[in-house]
Formats: sequence, C-alpha cells, structure tokens
Amino acid sequence: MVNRRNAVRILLAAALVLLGVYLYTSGKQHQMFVDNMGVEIDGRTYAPEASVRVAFDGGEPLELASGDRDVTQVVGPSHSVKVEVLNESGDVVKTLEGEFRWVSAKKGMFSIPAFLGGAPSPMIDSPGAE
Amino acid sequence: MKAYTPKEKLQHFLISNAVPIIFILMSAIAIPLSGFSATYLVQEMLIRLARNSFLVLSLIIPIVAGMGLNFGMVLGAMAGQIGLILVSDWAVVGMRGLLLAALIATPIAVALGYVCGAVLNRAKGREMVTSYILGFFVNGIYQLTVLYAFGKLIPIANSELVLSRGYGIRNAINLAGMRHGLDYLIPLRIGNLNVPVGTYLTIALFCLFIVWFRRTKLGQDMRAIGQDMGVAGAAGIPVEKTRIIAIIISTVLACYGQIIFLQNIGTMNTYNSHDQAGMFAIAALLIGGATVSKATIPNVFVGVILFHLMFVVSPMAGKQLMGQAQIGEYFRVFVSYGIIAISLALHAWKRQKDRERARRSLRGEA
Repeated sequence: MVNRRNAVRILLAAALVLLGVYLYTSGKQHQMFVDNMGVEIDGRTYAPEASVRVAFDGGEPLELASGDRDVTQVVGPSHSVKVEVLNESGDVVKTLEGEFRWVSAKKGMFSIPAFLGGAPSPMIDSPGAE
Repeated sequence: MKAYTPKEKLQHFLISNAVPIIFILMSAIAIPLSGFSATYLVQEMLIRLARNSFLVLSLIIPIVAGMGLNFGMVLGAMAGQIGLILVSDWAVVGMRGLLLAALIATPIAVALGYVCGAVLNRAKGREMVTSYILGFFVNGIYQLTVLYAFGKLIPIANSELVLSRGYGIRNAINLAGMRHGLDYLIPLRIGNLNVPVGTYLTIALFCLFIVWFRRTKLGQDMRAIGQDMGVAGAAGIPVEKTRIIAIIISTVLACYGQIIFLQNIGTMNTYNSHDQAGMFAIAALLIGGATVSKATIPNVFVGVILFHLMFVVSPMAGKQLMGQAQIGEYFRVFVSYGIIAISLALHAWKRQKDRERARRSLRGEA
C-alpha cells in the first residue's frame, strides 16, 4: 500500500535517478573531431578557410589550415565556440562566436566551414561513421 | 570526592595524550633531520589534510555508538571505488563525475553497511575484530566482482579499463578527468601554496553535520548505547537498529571519503586502494589522541597532521640518519601499524587505571 511515507520515498528515489541522469548528460566527456574541409550539407557546399583558429568553451585554441582535421574533448551537451579566420601573416581578419549542441557520437565532427557559412548545425558525420 | 594533586593531574594528562605526545616528539626530531622547507611541509600537510580528513571523520559516529573503531569502513571504500570505475567507463568528468560516482556508490554502501551492522549486532563486544574480518570477506566479493563481473555481466565499453582478456578491470585506473575535481572547485592560491578550498568546505560541512547529529535524538540514543547498552535498551532505545544506523552512516561516509581521497590522488589502484584506507584512517585517529571509546573532531585533524607529517619526513630523516630512505620508510610502516597496537594497549591500561582511581576516590585515600 502506498502511504505518505512510501510516496515520499518513491519521490526521493525518482529525484535521485533524475539527478543521476542530469549529472551523466551534463558531465559526459565527448571526443569531437574538428574539421576544416569543404562539406556539402542539404545540397549547399561550404568551402574551407585557408587558416583558422578555433576554441571550444574557452579552452586552448586549435589552429587548422585548409584540409586539416584535429580532435578535441568537450564536456556536456551544449558548447560555445570562437572561430578566428587568419590571413597569410597570421592576423585575425574575421571572428565568429556562437553556440552549438552535441548531437551524438555518430555526428561527432564539428565542421568549421559549415559553422562559418551559417549551416543549421555545424555537427556532421564523424570519420568513423562515414 | 578527593581532589587530584597536580602530580596526579599531570600523570592523567600524559596518560590521556601519550600517543600524540610521542608523535609530536618524534616529529620534532625528524623534521630538522629531513631538511624539508617549512613551505614544502605546509603544502604537503594542506593537501594530505584535505585528502584524508573525510575518511577519518567517518570513524567518529560508530565510536559514539560504542562500537569502537570501524575497521569495516573498507566496505564503504569499495563501494566508492565501484562508483568511480563506472563513472570512468562512462567518461563523466569533473565534479559531476564525482557526484555521480557518489550517487551510484551510495546504495551499495548502504547495503554493505546494513550487512556489516547486522553482523556486528551478533558480535557485541567484539565489533572491531569482527568488522576487520568482515572487511576481508567483502574484499573477496569485491575482487570477484571487479575481476570477473565487470566486462562480462556489467558492460564496460572503455577498452582502457578492461584487461586484455576482455573482462575484469585493469590494476590501475587513471582518474585524470576527475583529478582535483573537488579540491580546486574554488581555486585559491596563497603565495606558492595551492589551497584545496572545495574539499575543506566539504570537510567543514561534515564537521557541522557531526556536531548537529550528536544533538539529535538519534545522536543522543547512540551516546546512550555507547555508555551502556543494557540501560539504553531498558530505556526503550532500539539498540540493534540504532547500531545498524551508526554503521550505515559510517560506511556511506567512508564511501564519500574514499572518492574524495582518490580524486585527490588522481589514480586508483583497483585491487589495493581500499585495503589500507581503514588501517591508515584508524592509525591517524588514534595518533590524534582518540581512543576506542572516545573520539572528537580535533582528534581527527591533529591525528591526520601528525600521521602524515611522519609519512613525509620519515624517509628523508632515515636517509640523513642511516644513509637509506628505505629505513625511514620501514620505520614509518612499523610506526603506523604499531601505533594501533600501542593505542589499544594504552586504552586497556588507561581503563584499568581509571577504574582504580575511581575506586580510590570512592573509598577515600587511607
């Protein structure tokens, strides 16, 4: 029989399970590929930049030339990104900041051209899923 | 009642604080010999105090309940490690990883604490040796689970954690993602010293919990049981249930203590990390001046500082004195285990002396 005491216990257990789910999703570390290659999304082609500097969640920046691919770690479901497009002498010519959400390990690659070109989501199929 | 003479008072003080006094004297000799700078020793003590205090504090509640030193705290340590293994596999990092490990480990610690309390209720008066042996028994189950069930019955996706044969957990687990997750949650640097503020705040909360808990109905019941089980039972206190609760609380807190300990170290020795948790925590508490029947919060901090001061300075003092650091290390191991025997013997001797004194004071000196 579910009396008041048991109801409180069930609610408490449910709250703990929810807390566990929240901790898992918000603390999960993902391996994310960062790609500066040309990509086609929904029939539209996004061309790579010659040289870019990209930083996720205020972390250490990565520098990628056209056609480069690197890997980084991100924690949680939503992230901030800052992309700086560099000229030949290494000066910043354009900066774009924004946010994106982690979709899945299958869609675990961040496409810089897609992000700079304003694609609906910069996350594309990761190399393993291609 | 007879008033004590200053000589008797001094004798009583020396007997009551014999262990800390011995350790203070040993440290006073070993520190200059080791040649370590004050800054280095202070930094080491700050880290080690944060690392160990929670584990040692978890021993207080069973002492209040008259159950002696809870050697069964290793059960809690094992539960904490299971939580950390799972969280490492799921790649949950930082403070959230530690909280999730604690959340997963809590029901395991509660179940183990219940079993431990129920067993100890059948071994009243012999709680310490019983919990010590129970620790070995549960260690066997833990080893079986971690060596065979993990990777077979419990899926482990991270190949870095699993032995090359495909099941069982590797001997060492890197907790890099969780390392100092609590320690430096609030970063504070004073000069060259890094202060683990997050852990100190957690320890402070735990101390407040112990102070508050002792004043609650349950805490008072535990004190009554600790003083005399028969009288407490006659007064209507559910003795066995209260004793089980005391052990469950201690086991759960030991589980959190082990998680805090391992996040500070940054590496987990899957099959050995929990082994020495109980022995070292008990040695530290006894060195702080606690006894089998009485332990306070200051005992914990004094004990951790003195015990770990010896840890740090002994090898170097041994090297300076004998030319070999290993001799100092052997000495420290000898001291850390020997101190438990000395404390238990001193406790028995002190109880006998106290009884004699009480008899004398009631009878009146001839």
